[in-house]
Amino acid sequence: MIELHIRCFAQVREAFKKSRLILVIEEGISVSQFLKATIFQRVEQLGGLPLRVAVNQIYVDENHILQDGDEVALISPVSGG
Amino acid sequence: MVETTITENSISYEIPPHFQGDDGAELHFFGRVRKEEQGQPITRLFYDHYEGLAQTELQKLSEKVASSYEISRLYCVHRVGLVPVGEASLQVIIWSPHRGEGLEAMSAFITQLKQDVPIWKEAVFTDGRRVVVECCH
Repeated sequence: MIELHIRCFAQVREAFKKSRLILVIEEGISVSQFLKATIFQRVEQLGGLPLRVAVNQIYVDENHILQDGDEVALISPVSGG
Repeated sequence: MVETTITENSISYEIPPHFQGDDGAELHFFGRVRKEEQGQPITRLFYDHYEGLAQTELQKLSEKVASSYEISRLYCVHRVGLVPVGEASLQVIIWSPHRGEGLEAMSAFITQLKQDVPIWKEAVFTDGRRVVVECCH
């Protein structure tokens, strides 16, 4: 098992009611598997939200494999400016 | 030359001295907090950001625009935290030899900023409610 440090912002923070959380998942899981099995299943209201993921401060694609201790930011559509 | 800053401080309307130059075009853009969101009055916006990545992406975007367009310099300040109605949340200044390239660069920069830089705004309504605002402009 591996431990992930999750950062939540905007709609994701509202859904989880937290800005940071720690999740423990199986090893060898990709970003898309993580989103599907751990995030979207757990928090229904995020189901239709297009999320980008940054791991350790870098945007990654859906095939990226998560590692123990990763900081995983769930980036919902941004609205700066 | 490119310089980007993310700050909780008010945005100054002055041009940084080390950015003074002799280009033909000097384009200024200020994004200010409107008094309404979703048709209801607000008192301020709260700009949340992912510290670290927001600065990295803002700088990367500035460098990309500076290398993709015929511009000389780009200066950008994005304010985060609470920003009252009427105050600036974004300042962009672009210098270019001629206006055309500068205007194109400005438009491309702001459009891309609203897609890639992890900054989010929440409207603070007069009754105290805070609601995440989805950007569509």
